[in-house]
Amino acid sequence: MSTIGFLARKILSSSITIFAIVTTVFFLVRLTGDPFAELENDPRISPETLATLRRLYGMDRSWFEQYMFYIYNMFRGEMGYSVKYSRPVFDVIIERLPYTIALLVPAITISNYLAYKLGVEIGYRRGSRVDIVVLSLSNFLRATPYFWLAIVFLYIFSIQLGAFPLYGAISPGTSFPSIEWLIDYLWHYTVPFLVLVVRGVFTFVLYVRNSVIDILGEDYVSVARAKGLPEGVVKSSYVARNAMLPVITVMGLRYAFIIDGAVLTETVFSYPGTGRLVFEAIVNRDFWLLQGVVLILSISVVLANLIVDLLYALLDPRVRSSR
Amino acid sequence: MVKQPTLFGICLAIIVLSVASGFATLVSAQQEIRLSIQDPPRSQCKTYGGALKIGIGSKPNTLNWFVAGSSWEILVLTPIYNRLVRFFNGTLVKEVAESIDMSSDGKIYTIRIVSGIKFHDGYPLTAEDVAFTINMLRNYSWAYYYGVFRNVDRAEAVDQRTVKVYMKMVDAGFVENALSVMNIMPKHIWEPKFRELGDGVAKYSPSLKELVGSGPFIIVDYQPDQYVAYKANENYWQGRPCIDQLVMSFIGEASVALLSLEKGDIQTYSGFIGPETAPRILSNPNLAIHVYQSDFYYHWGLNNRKWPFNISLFRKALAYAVDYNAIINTLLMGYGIQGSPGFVPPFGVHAKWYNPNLKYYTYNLTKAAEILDQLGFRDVDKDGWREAPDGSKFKFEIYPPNYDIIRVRAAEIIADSLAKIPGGGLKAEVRVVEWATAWSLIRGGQVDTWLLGSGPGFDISWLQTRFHSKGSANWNRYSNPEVDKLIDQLVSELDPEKRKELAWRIQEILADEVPAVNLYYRKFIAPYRLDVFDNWVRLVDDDLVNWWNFLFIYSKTGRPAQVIKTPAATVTATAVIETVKTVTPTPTQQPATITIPQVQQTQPALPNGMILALIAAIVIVAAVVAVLVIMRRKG
Repeated sequence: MSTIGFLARKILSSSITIFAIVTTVFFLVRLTGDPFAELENDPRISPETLATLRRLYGMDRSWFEQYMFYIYNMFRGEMGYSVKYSRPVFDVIIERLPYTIALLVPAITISNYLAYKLGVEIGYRRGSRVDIVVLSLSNFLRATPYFWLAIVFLYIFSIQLGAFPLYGAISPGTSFPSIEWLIDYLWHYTVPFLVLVVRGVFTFVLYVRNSVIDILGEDYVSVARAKGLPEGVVKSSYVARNAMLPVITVMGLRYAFIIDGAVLTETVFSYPGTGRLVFEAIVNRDFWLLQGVVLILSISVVLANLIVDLLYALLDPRVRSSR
Repeated sequence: MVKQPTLFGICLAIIVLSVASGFATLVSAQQEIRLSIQDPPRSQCKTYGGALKIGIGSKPNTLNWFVAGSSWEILVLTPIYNRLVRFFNGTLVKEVAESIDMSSDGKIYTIRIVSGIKFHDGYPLTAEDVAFTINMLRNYSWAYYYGVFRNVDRAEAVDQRTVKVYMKMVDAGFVENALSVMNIMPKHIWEPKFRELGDGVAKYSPSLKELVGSGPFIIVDYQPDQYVAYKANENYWQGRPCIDQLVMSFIGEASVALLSLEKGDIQTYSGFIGPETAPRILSNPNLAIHVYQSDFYYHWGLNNRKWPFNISLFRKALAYAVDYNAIINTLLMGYGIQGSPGFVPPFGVHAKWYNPNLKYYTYNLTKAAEILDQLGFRDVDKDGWREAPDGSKFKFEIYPPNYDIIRVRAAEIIADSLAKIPGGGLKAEVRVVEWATAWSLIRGGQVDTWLLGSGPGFDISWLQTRFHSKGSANWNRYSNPEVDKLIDQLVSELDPEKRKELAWRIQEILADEVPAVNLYYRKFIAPYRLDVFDNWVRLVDDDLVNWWNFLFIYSKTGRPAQVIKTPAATVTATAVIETVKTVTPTPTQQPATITIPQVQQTQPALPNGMILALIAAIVIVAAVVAVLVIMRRKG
C-alpha cells in the first residue's frame, strides 16, 4: 500500500477516535454533576440568578441539543464559554498554553535525550558501579512523590541557596519584550524545568537500559562483534539504534500529554499553565472548558501516535515492508 | 354679634388645626429616617513608598466585577473601586455615601454622595454612576449580586449628588446586604458595553484599561494565574494610600507561601494555613500571627424530611451525642468555638442579632440514651446497636466533604461517640465521596446527614434562605410554620428593636428544634511580617488582606516627609503631604485638587539572586554539555 493510502487510513481512523473520545466525555461529564452546584450554597445567589446562568451557558437545553450545538461549534472552531472563567474557553486555554509548551517541550526533549544517552551507557555497563548508582537513584526518584521532590528542589535552590524565586513565572513589573524579561523568565523557569528533567531522566532511563540489555543478547550483536567491528560502532549502530525502537513509543507519547502534564509542577511552583486548568475543570464540572481541553488532548494524543508510527517506519525497515 | 364670629373663628381654627394636624401626620408619614452610619476610621501615613507584596491562596478567574463571585475575585477588585458604605469590624461606616435616608415606609432610600470624587481616568463620580450600578445589578439576573438587589424597583439620579432608590418591597437588610458590597462602577465605561452586548456582559472579560474605578489603587498589570499589580492612586480623594505599589501573587500551596513569607518575598498571606504551623511561624522574630474568626457555621446537616430526622426529639438526641470538646480542642487545636444552637454567630457583624440566653448543647451521652429510649430506639437483639422502634436494623450515613480533612475527622468523631451511647450505639457510616457528587445528593434530599459549612449574610434576614421552609438554601429541609411567619416579619420589619426581638425568638426555636447540629465556627491564622511594614489593621473577622490595610499600612523604610531623594519625588511628596494636611476628617470636605506630576515608574533592579541564578544556569548547562562530550568520546 502506498504511503498516501497509509496516511489517509490513519487520518480517518484518528478522526473517528477523536470523535468517539469527545462524545464519551461530553456525556460522561454531564452524569457527574452541575457547574453551578457550588453557587447554590451561597446565600447571595438567588434561584433566579442560577436559572439565568443555566440559560446563558445553554445548560437548560436537553443533552441532545447541547451535544448538537457542541459538534456544530467544533466544526466552526469554537469551544463555547467557560462557566468558571466567564469567558470563551479558547481564550482561557490560549492564555496559558505558551507557558506549558515552553516549559514541557524542552523539558521532555532534553530528558528524553539524556535518558536515552544515559540508558545506553548504563545498559552497556550493567552491573558496574555507575549502573548501580543510576539504578538505585532511579528507583528512589520514581518512588518519591513528585510534589515532594519539587518542594525539596524549591527548598534547596530557593531557600537554602536563595538563588531562585519561590513562585510565579515572571516578576511583577517586568514588561514583556525585553532582555530583562527574558532573564526574569529564565530565572523563574530554571527550578521547575530542572525538576521535570531530573524526574523525566530517571524515570525513562530504565526503559532504555532494559531495552539495551535485551539487544545486547541478540545474535546480530554477537555477529557484529565476531566480525571484529570496533566496540564503538557496535554500540552506536547496532545496539543504541535498535534499543531506540521500543522506547520511542513511550517517550514520544509523553508529548501528547503536554496539556495536562504538569499539574503538580504548576501547583508547587505557582506556575501558570494548562495542567491546573484540566484539574479545575474536572473539580468544578466546568463542562465546556473540560470539553475544550479534552478535544485538544485527544487531538494531540492521536497526532503523537501518528508521528510515532511514522518514525517507527523510518527507523525500522521491517514495519515498512510488512505493511 | 360678638359671639358669632368667635364661634366661627373657633370652628375655623378647629378645622384649620385638624387639617394641619392631618397634614402633619401625612408629612411625618413621609418623613425620612436618617440611618446611623459611623464615620470611617482615619489614619495618617508616617511615610510614603514601598511595594506591599501579598500572597493570596487562589486566583481570580474573572476581573469582571458584575460576575465576580469567588472571594478572591472580589478581593482582587477591592483596591480599585469605592463603595457607598463598608463594614469595619462589624459596623457600617461611610465611604462614598455622605448620608442615607430611608422613607418611613422603607420604600425609598435617598443617598447623598460625596462630591469631587474622580475615577482613575479623570471622569467625575456622580449619582449617575451609583444609579447605573444599582440598575444593572437589578436588571441583569445573571449578576452575582442580583439576589441582594432584586427587591429594588429602580434607582434614579436626582442630581449630581443625590440618588433615590425605589424598592418594590420592603427589604430591611438592603443597606447592609446590598449597598455594603456594591462597588461603584463607572457608567461611561460599562454602559456602552451593556448596550452592545446585553447579556453578553456576563461572559465579557474587561481589559486593564476598562478596569477603571475611583479607589485608592490603579491596576497596572494582571498575569492570569500569577499576580495582579497595582500602583497607588496619588489623587485619591480620601488622601493617597501610604504605599506606592501593591502586588497580589496567587500562591496555591500554603507551604510555599510560608517559605516565601519567611524569606520576605511576601508580607502576609491570605489563604488557608493550618493551626499546626503556628509554633513555627512564631519562632521567627520577624513574623507574627493574627487570629481571626470566620463566621461560617460548620454544622451537621440533617435531612429534616427523612425519618427519623423529621422528629425534633431525635435530632436533639444527636445534638447531645456530639463531643464538641474533642472537635474544638483536639481536632481544631483550640482554633474554633462551639457553634451557637441558634446558628447566629456571637461576634462581628452578627453580634447585635445574637441571642446570648441560648442554652448550648453539651456532650451528654446519657441524655442522648434517655431520649432514644423514649423514642423507642432500643437495642432489642443485644448486638450493641440500637434498632428502630419497629425492631428493624437502623443505620444512617454522614457525608463530609472529601476536600476538608477536618470535617472528615469530625464526622469520624461523631460516628465514634454515637457508637458509645450507653445501652446500645447508633450506627452511623462516614462516607467520604467526591464532594460534587455528594453535594448533588444532599441538594436532592437523597441522603440522611452531612457536614457543611455555610456563610451567614450581613443582615439577619439571611435566616430566610436557610431556615424558611421556602428558603433557597434550606438544605436541611426544615419547615416550621411559626418560624416561617417570624422570618417573614423579620424581613419586612424596619424597627431594629422589633427585629432583634424576632431574631431572638427565632434563635430560641431553632435551638430547641435543632434543624441541624451547629458544630463550630473556625478561627484562622493570618501570618504577617513585622520588619518592613507598620500599622497593620487587624479585624476581628477578617485576615490582613483587606481594604483598611491597603490604605493604612506604611513602610518602615519609606520616604518620610523631610528626607527627599530625587527632585521629581520632591514635588510629589510635599504636594501630597500638604493635601493630606488640608483634608479634614469629614468626608464631605472636597479634597484639594492638586495636579501631581506622574512619577515615572522605575523598573525594579535586577535582584541579587538573579545574578546567582544566571551563574547557576550557566554552570548547569556547561555541566550537561561536558557530560555529553565525555559520553561521546567514550562511545
